[in-house]
Amino acid sequence: MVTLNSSLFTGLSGVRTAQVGLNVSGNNIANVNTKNYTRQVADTRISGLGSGGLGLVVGGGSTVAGINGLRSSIADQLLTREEGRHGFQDTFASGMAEVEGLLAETEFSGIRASMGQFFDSLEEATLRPADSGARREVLELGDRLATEIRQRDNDLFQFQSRTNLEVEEVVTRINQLTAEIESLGNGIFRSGNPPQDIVDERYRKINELSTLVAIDVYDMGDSRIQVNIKDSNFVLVGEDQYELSIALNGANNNFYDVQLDNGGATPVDITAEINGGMLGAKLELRDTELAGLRRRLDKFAAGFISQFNAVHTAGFTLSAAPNDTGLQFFDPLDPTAGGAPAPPAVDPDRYAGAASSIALSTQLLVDPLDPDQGFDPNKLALSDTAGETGNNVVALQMAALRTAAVVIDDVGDGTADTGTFERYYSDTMSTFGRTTRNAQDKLEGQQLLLDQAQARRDEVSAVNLDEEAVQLTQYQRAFQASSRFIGVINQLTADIINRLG
Amino acid sequence: MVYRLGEFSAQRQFLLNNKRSNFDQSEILEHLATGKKVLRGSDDPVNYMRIEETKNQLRQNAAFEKNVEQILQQNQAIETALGSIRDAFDSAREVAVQGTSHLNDDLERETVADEIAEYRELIINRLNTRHEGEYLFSGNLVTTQPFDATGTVYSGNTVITNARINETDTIPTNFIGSEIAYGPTGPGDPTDMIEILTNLEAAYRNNDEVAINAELPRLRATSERLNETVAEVGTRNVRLISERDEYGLFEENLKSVLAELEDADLAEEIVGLEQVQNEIQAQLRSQRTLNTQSLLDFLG
Repeated sequence: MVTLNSSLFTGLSGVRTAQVGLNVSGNNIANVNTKNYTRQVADTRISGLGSGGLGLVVGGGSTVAGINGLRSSIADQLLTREEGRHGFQDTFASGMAEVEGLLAETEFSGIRASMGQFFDSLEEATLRPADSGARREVLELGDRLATEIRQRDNDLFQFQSRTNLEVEEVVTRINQLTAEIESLGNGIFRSGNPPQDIVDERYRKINELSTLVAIDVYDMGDSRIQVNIKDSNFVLVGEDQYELSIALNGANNNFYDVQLDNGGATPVDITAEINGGMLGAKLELRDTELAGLRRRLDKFAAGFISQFNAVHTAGFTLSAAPNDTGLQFFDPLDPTAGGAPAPPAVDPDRYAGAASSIALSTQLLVDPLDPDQGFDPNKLALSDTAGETGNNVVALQMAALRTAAVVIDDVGDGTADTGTFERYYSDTMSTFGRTTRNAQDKLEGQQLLLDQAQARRDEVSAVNLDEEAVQLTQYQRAFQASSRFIGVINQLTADIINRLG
Repeated sequence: MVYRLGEFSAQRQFLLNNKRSNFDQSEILEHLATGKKVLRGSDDPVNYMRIEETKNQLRQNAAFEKNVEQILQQNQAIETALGSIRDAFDSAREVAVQGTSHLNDDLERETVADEIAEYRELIINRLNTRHEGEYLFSGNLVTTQPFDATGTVYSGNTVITNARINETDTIPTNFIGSEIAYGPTGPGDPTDMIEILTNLEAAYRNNDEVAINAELPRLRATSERLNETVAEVGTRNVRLISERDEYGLFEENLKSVLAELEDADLAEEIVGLEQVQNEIQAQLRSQRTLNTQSLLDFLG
């Protein structure tokens, strides 16, 4: 039998349920701006059963069985994957744009301009080989060209080094995130019915991790997850975390390799297997794009060194013996990197370091022991015969290198196979520009995919203020009605008591 | 199709579109500020290589054109010097021929001899002409004076210097002093003008009619040779001027190609700017509308 007292409790349960509903909506509204927040709903149920008298059964009010997060694991996984891809494209495209900015040239400065001016000065010298002004110009512009190449190479190396340091930071952050995910997973596992905010927080951490490195996430059941970097490189299996670490690679400018401590005797190098997220983009920038660009700059510099030295050392200067012939034009004499195999074996890095070391030869200095005195125009060899001041045969040969079609060893087998110098450099810049543009286009496409994935997740999980406003109204009305119900029961109870006199 | 929207889906879409429009706008502004639509490889990877190749070609052509201009200037100096030598020789020839009618007058004979000596001196002086500090007729020993005061000792060499006027062709830039002074076979050649003038001077001073008559036929041949040498300068100049004119045409064509490839079409850019600004305004206006409409505003 239902008593007035029990009716009061029915009213109270309604008030409490409405209050929880109001709080859930309030929490949703408060988190409307929280990234990847999953909207929550109160799971309202009938509370017990009671007798309404006269053989009828009525409910005993309502209760909130739980607070549920509205999520779709497919939409969540899709967003995680697209966040990872976007992390890669965003980092890669902005890095490429920054490098392209470093390579920007004007009409009067940069490698292209210096190269043009240098070749122009050689043309000038073919007409006036005895003129010290024309000779000085060749030396000055040759020096400027070598300096530009060195500076550009140094700029690229600095960018590589900075990217390398960022690799370390990203690896540290990946380990931190993995530890946090593991800790949150433990909390979820232990609580059985965890607060949705913890589940959300783990999801946010997983998404952040995916922007740092491409991962696969598997549900192991019991709220446990497994996180892999590329196929079988586990970084998290349930409550076991496997940390990433870095190690210097002497064969790669002492840049960092990424290793995984998978519990074996020694960490495993997984650098080559990382190809996504921010980390993948940084490694791609450092080891592929920038390294490739520098490799081409090395070949370009080596071409200048080899071709000009071959011509210049055979020519005759206006100086007395022993400086009358056999002088180099550029240093070093041989641009081949130490340890490169003997030609015709192919080695793409045959000329590593040529761009960072190219310089106008110290043999052309007035006094090699006192570089401050500058270069000696008389030591420029423009003649093919000793003592002929107006002989321009070697000058003509050097000027002709501008249009020579085969001056650079691009294959790396020790023999020149392509040219011209100007075309090779333009092609290098053009190829880099194409890659940059592709990266920008891919980023734009990826942005759309990310947006779609976000919309797909929002469809299920995002907070909509209009919906929450309706919920608020509903719960407000329910609260008011239950309060009113309690008032009615209270009044009835008072009426009965008052009848007792 | 998405059936349910999160609160900020529209805002996110707005941001995406707005970012793109702002990027487009800044790109157009950059084009307008620089007058170029291709400033870096990523702006137009397909045409960037063509632009660079065209610029390289223009620069190379400019260098060759400069060569041509300088050789023309040098040829002008050579032509002036050779013209002066030829005129002096022709004047000496005239004096020598006229002098044959005064063979019995000692004073006049001496005057003729003096005049011939003066012309020879002038010729030697012209053979030592310098242009921008370098001797024109000493082969490639451009810092060595080619002739001594008597004109009989040649200190230059016989090396012809060439200069590039395009990628494949060169053109000689000098004349050999000994060939001009002594003729193609050197001293003693039938057209050796120094020898002829020296002999004539001596013959007039000695009143040696036989010797004078012996030199007269050589005067004509030498005069013709000098005319041919002067004409050779003209021939070289014709080639150079034609090359220069061609470079002028090339430059015009290449610049037009370059403009087509990299220059911004200002009218098109301004229309584009107008469009993108309209887009941005529409985006901002619709965003403002979005922000003002929510059920929460209507709750009491």
